Amino acid sequence: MRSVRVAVVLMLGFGVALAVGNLWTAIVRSMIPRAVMGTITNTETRFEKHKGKDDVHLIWLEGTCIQVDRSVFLSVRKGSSIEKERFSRTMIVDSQPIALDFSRDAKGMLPAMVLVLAVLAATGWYSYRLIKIGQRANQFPSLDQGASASGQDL
Amino acid sequence: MCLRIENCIVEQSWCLRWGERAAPDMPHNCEPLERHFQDVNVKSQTSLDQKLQVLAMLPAFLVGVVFELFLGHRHDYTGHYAAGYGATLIAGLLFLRWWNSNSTSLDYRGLISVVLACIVAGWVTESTIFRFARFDAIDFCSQSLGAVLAGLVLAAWNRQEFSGEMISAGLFIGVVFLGLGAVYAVR
Repeated sequence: MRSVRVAVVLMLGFGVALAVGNLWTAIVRSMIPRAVMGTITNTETRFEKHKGKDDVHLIWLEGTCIQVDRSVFLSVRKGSSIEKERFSRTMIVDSQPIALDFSRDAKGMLPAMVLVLAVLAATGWYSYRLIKIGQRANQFPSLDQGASASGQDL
Repeated sequence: MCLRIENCIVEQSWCLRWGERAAPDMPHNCEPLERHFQDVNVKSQTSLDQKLQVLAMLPAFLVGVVFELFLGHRHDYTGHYAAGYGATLIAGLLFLRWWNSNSTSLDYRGLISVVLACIVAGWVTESTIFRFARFDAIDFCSQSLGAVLAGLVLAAWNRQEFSGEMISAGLFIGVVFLGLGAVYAVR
């Protein structure tokens, strides 16, 4: 791959995929995009570096482990029966409707990823511009090269 | 008219293209012209190097500010991003210096390879030594976004020969961001 344009576009493509990945991961933990039905077989909170700030809340739904937001985790317990339609903001837990909302992570991730992509695009454009400046500067022979090519003594 | 003057005229248009002012009383002998354009070349190279250094710092700083502004309750996301950026900048600079010294022409396969290698290395470390509770996709995507930003910066830094000053400047910037990443990740 010799073309810088291809390299820059490829990296911007990676950037878009990663930003979408970040946003989707934060959103899906709210349970809103999921369609679920079944019984919770287990629940667990695991701790990372900062207890209470970056805890990982897990529920096992019919044996499948799902990471959820704290608010979702607090609304269910082991043995709860849950039911929810895809993209609905209401989840039925033991016949009781529970309102779902996006977490602080998801709410912050949307503007953050849009702005990060804007910075990536601007960086790609400016890099491309600097490469072109460098290439244009190199395409002119130096004074010594020009003279020696023609055999003249400077 | 000697060849040197013709070269100078070609370079004069190049100088004007980059916004440099031609000498006000352009002489018709070769020597002052040569000196003038040598000065312009040195200034242009210095200016390009300065722009490359700003490119390595400013976008990375702005993305860090964006992370803190909107996701400030989770400093570890900022930390992962900064560490991904710093580590890829360091690895990329060292790799490209070696890769370009062993190739006859400049191409971008090495650049893409090093960015992908850094993303994979980030995935491996996130799944193993930095896996505390569970593999965190947000940590991984954030550090990989840093790697991609470093790749875009390295696209402009990619050249056949790296000067010692530019390598030192790039490595210093990389180490600073890697250090910031470590600080924010545990903050």
